[in-house]
Order: sequence, then C-alpha cells, then structure tokens
Amino acid sequence: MIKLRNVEKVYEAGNSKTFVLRRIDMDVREGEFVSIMGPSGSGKSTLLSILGMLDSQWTGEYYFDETAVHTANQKQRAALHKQNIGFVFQSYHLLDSLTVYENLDIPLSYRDIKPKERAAIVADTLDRFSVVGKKDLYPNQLSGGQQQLVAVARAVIARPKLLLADEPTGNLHSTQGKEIMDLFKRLNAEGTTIIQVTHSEQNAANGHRVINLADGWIVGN
Amino acid sequence: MRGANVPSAMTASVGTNYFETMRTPLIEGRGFGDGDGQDAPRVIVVNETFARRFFPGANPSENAIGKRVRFGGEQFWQIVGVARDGKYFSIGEAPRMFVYSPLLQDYATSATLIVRTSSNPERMISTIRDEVRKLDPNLPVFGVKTLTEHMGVSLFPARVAATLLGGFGLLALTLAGIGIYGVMAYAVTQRTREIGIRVALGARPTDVLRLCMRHGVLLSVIGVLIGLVATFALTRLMASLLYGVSPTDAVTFISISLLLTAVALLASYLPARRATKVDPMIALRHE
Repeated sequence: MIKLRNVEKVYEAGNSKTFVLRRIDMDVREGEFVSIMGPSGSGKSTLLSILGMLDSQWTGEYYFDETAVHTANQKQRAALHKQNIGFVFQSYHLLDSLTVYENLDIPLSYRDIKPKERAAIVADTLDRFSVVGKKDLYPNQLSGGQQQLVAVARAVIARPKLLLADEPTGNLHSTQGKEIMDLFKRLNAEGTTIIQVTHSEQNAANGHRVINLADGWIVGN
Repeated sequence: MRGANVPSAMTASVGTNYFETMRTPLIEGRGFGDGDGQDAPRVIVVNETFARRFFPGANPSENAIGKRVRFGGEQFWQIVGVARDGKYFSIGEAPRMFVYSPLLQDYATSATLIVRTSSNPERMISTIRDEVRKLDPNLPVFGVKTLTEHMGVSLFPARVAATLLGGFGLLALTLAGIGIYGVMAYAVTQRTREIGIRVALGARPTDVLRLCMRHGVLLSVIGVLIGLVATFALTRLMASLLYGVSPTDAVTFISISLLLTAVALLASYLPARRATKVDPMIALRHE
C-alpha cells in the first residue's frame, strides 16, 4: 500500500542544513497496524505528515497504492489524501464552534456526497461510536477521551483506507487511552490500515510492528 | 404695485435669433425678428416663472401671450413669447423671473456677441475679430471665450464642492477597504488552526477561499444595506446641492453599492487567498 524510498526532509537556514528525515525506506502493507516510535525530534510527526500528503517539501520516492506521490502535483496529492487518508491528532483538533454532529460532518462536506446521504452517514457513525447522546454538545462539553473518540469517528467517517494518528492517546489518561487503542484495533480488524506515532511501548504493542526513528534515521523495523 | 412689494425681474436686451442661438425653447408665442424694430410696437419675451407669477391659471404661458406690462415708466411692452426657465447666474439658484427685450427696441451700450458654430469654437475667434474690425476698427472686442469656459466660472463652486466631497468619498472608500482588509486579515489569523484542520480533513483551496470569503461577503452586504438606508435618509437633506440628479437616483445608488461591494470583496479576497496557503502541519503544530 505504501512504499517510501530514500525519502529525505531538510530544513535550510542560510548556509546550514538540518536533516529531519534521512534516507527513509519503508513499506506498509494494506491492513497493517504500524507504530512509529522514537524520541522527540526524531522526525516521527514529519514522517506522518509526509505519509498523509500534508507536507510536500521532501525528496525521494513515495508510492501510495502504486500511485507515485512524488511526481503528483498538489491537486492530485490533495485528491489522493481526501480519498484515502484520515487523521487523528494528539490535541483532537475538533472545531470548538461546531457541535459533535457538525464536526463529524466536516470531512463529508468536502466530498461529493448529497446532504441526505451525509446525514445518514453521520447518524450511522454517531451510533457506531456510541456518541448519539452527545451529538448536540460542543467539544468543550466533552471529556478528553470523548473528544478523541469523536476525533477518531471524524477521521474514519469518510471510510479512509489509511488512518494516521499522531500521539492519539498523548493527552488522555490510561483508561481513555486504552479505549482508543481498542477502537483502533477494532477499526484495523475491519480493514483500515493504521499508522500511529506514539511514545508509549504499551500502545505500540497493539500494532503488528514498530518502526523506530532516531535523528531522522530508521534505526529499527 | 408699489413699495417693498414691487416685484423684480432680471432683464436682457437680445438680438434676433437669440433663442435659436442659445437653444432656449419657446413654450408659447415667438422670439424676436427683424420686424421688432425701433418703430414697431414694443414687445418682450418672458420666462415661465414670470408667466406663472403674473398670469396664473391652467396655462400661465398661454395666458401671458398678448398681455401688456410696464417696468416703472410709461412705456407698455406686449408679451409675444414665453421662454423656458433657465439658470441665469448659478446652477443652484431658485427659479427667477426673466424678461427679454429686442436689442433694436431697448438699446444697450455694451453687448455680448454670442456665436454658435458647427466646428471648434476656438477656431472661430479670429474670424469674429476680423468681422467686427470690418464693421468698426475702433470697436474693442474683449473677454472672448467659449460658452463652456463661461459656464466653468458659474460651475466653479459646485465643481470645487463636488471634487472635495468626491475626495472625501474616495477617502472613506479607501478607509472602508483597509478596515475590511484588517478585519479579514485578523479573522484569517484567528482561524489558522481551523483552516489547518479543515485542510487535513479534505478541504481544497477553493473550500478555504469560500469559507473565508463568506465572512467578508456577509460584512459587506450588511454594510451596504445599512449604508443604503442611511443614504436614503440623508440625501434628501442635500437635495438643494444636487443638479441634474435626484436625491434617490437609482443608477447612483446601484453603481455605488456595486463599487463598495467590489472593494469589500477585493479587501476580503486578499487575506482569504493567503488562507488557502496555510500549511496544515504548521497550523496544527501551533496548538
């Protein structure tokens, strides 16, 4: 599903160059649950944003389902991202001014789905994630765990093939974190490929394998 | 009538073909001809205001024809025509009474020669000087100017006022544009995180542009509507300053509304376009 070859990311400031990612070779098969680990500054989140096609300032080769992302233009990358990828963030990133229902509707509003069909998908997702009773609440009326639950629901509502999660349990206490991990395992079992960035060995153990990064290099796979 | 109530009218001695030359329409009767000489009965042409003042009725102009009037002396003058009201001293003046008499019957020592040309009037000036010199080499010709130049003098105060008000209007438009730009730029900065989230969730640049522009469009529509209501109320107060345009002129209202909306949209578009270039990863990392 994903093939990275010799991917590098460099920040240039004047004459100095700072390498964030060095010669990354990586393969992820469809249906895998992969955890990326490493110390702060090792390039985990950068790698995730490249995989999610939100970062285009890098070199190397990236194939997504045989499509060459490195030669695709911005519009093609955006389309590829929209069709295939869902994001979960450490800080949930729900929109505070929108209700749970409206937050779930955002990804659908950017796809060519009729309003009636959108309403049905949102209702189904609310039910699937057991948050029907909270659909009219705003994010600040929810606990951290509930907010992350809604964020995961929002990430998968458009049925992406790949779910990328950046420290999804970083702001949660252990019980809530476990619930999110259980949810990830369930989604993975249903066929969603998952790549998560985590500091937690325990969370990483939920995946099929772990990729270790240090100073931008893959040091263990 | 005597004393303070004596009505007064402006007068002018004019030559034959004066009304044709000036293209002043005669509503009733006739203008002056060669027959209105020294020995002919004394005749005058009055304007509409004069006719309305002294010969009221269903048709004052028709009533005035044939009537005789005198101006202080013993001499009676018969009204043979009624001319349309004009602006005699300034554009903004109220309608005033005016009486035209034939130059041949009411001689004036100084006269203004008015010439209508089909070509550029400035080219005719030397020809006119030559003709006058042929008639009398000692007759001075001075103050030669085109009617447009002549009108310029009387229009000067109005032009200055219009230029000044136009300048203020332009200043207000610029300030409004800067204001909207500032508000929009601030709103975009405030929404950077939201824009980053939306892009990460699949929003295209056009979606982001639409999201940001919606705010600017709403602001400008509300502003224009408030402005229209206020203008409807205020322009009535300046009706006396307007010439050739009504205080509620639809074309002016529509065109200015469109201009303001266009400026507001442009002022909204620039920050909105910048919003489309928000890097979602940077925007979300700021959290």
